[in-house]
Amino acid sequence: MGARVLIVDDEPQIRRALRVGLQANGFDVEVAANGETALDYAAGHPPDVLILDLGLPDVDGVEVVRQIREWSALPIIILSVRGAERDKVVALDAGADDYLTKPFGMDELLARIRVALRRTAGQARGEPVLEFGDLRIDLAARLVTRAGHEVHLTPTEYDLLRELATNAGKVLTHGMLLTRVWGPASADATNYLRVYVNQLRHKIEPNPAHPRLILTEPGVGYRFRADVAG
Amino acid sequence: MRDVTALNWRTLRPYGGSLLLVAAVTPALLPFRLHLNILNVALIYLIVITVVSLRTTTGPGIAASVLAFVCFDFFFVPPYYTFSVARPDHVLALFVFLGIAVVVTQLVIRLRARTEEALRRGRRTAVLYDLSTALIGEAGLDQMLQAIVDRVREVFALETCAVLLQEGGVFRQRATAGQPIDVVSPNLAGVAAWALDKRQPAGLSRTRVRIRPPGRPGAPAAWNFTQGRRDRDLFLLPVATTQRPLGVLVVARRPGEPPLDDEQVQLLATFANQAALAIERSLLTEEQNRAEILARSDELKSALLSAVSHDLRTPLASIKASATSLLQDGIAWTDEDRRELLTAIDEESDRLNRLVANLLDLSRIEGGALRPELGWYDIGEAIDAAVERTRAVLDGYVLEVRVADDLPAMRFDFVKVVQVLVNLLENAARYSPPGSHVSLSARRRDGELEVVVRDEGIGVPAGEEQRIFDKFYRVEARNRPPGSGIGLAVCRGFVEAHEGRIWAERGDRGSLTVRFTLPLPAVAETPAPAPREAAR
Repeated sequence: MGARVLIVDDEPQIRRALRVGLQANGFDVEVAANGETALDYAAGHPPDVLILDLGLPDVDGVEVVRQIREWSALPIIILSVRGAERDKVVALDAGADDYLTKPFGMDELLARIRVALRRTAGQARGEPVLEFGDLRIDLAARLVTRAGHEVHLTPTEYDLLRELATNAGKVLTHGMLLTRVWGPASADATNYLRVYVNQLRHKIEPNPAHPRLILTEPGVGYRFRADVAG
Repeated sequence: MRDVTALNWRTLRPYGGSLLLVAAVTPALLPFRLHLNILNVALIYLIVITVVSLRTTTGPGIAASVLAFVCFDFFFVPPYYTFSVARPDHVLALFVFLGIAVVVTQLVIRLRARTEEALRRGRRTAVLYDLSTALIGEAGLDQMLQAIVDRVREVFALETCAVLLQEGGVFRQRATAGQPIDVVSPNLAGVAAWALDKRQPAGLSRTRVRIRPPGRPGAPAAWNFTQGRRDRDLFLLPVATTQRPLGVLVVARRPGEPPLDDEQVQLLATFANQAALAIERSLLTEEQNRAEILARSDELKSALLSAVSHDLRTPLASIKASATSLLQDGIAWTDEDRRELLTAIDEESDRLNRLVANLLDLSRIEGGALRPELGWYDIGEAIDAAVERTRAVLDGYVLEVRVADDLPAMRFDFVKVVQVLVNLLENAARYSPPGSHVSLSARRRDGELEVVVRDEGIGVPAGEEQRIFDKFYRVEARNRPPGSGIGLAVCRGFVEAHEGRIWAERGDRGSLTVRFTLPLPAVAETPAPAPREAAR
């Protein structure tokens, strides 16, 4: 694969474990011990994925995310011991793509890295049609079909689905979804979101009680599953 | 019955005095009867009645006026020694005299009452002012209540004054001036509860409540108290705010003192109100303090939890990442990679173990369950062991170790002293940049062993040198590395358990020097050769 991964963590042992583990999986790995170095690195040789710890000795990880987002859309995966929903929401709202709480398994991290890489590849191609299993979303025609049958969606439901599907694999916080679909004035109206997600699940999920496409990230937001067998 | 006699005697006494004075003047005037005009005699009697009125009340005053009238008629209005009057104008003079005497008596008595009222008011204001000044000066509830009871006892010349507070349904004596009151007495408690419940004053006979030393002996009367009976020996006033009942103010008069009058009861009630306010204020302050302490301990607890969870999860993250890497299928690990991952697991497990040990030690120190297991050891050995255990942590630092060669064997808990050294070295490495110098030295100083650990790290803000040994203390710095603030607290606990001291000193450019001492054994105790004290 040879995708470039930059690991930013102040703990030497975790840097070592990640470097060895990712290299063995074919990634090209760079490491940085603090935020300043990470920003320099990212500017000089932009990596394909940035793996970032929040508790850095010099700058807070969230600040690193904000600074990078000023000029780059490169996927950022947060790795942190901070497991509270509030911390996740802050980092994701700042522009991080994903959030993994320490300690984590290597398989999980690799899966998240792959999703992030695939997503950027998809965005780069700017595909007008998205397919997830038997669900097909034609962005140009605003047409959604499931197993060949058209799914009738209200404009708001469609906007919500488009937002989730084009960011498949990425956690979208309640605030992001509300701002993008309903507008900035509705950023706190989480109950709208819950109602519409529920309606959407009834229309596109095979079993709405056990969603396989629109996954809930408790207290944080929703994630559209990217790796549904297609 | 005795009460009734006493009451009558007290009532009758002023009559006797007044009448006696009028009666005494009469024989004194008799020799001058022929030289005095009847008008002059009347004026002299009026003076006497005015004097009597100045010292007595209406009843005796009028009695004296009537007696003067009678004496005047009998002795001075001709014909003498009869009540008959010869001249009609003398009849008029006599009744005018009586009228004037009564009016003068009334006027004088009323004037005097007003003056006394004004004086009393002035005194009362002064007393209350005095009390409020005293209360402002007092900090605690007990001091405030003591100030109140002291004043009440002084102002009313009481035998005893006490404040009983109701705490959990039981009355407790919180402040007493004079003889303590036997609060255990069920009668007193019952009356106090009644007074507090009804918010009304109550009286109680002394025979039912023991005042130590026991007061007047007397057959126990039936338990009867009456609302507001002031002639009882004990008088109870409720102490309560509008919201809550608090307790009672109990006063005991000296034996034989007159009952409290309206004026005094009112003043007492004012004192009771002051007490209620003081108690309420202090209760509110206490509640507020308790809430603050709770909030602070909650803050501390959550700080501890987040620090500990961070510290525990960080090594776990490395261990899990390494282990799950090794468990992945289909990867051909090179020997070097496998070794690196396994080393990470090994070292991070040690780190986790050190952290758990520190946490356990801290809880033992906090719980007071720390007992050093003393044995004879060489401090050099302990230093070697500590350096060995921190080899991985200090990788990349320049470590200098100097141990004086004149150090005798000493008694200490080997494991704990090694732990202290490990924590200090780990701390030095954690707070200073890689490549910097860390020095560790041990030498004899002022009859003690002094161990010094110095680093070139981020240091400590001025004035906080001692606080770094408080648990959960963390230096506030931009570059501060993660940690829970446990290690140095453990160091202090261990060193103090050895009867040593530990302290920190700021050096130049962010360096920090931590020193601790351990007692050296007395020469006679030492199993090793006598130390070369002269060398220093």
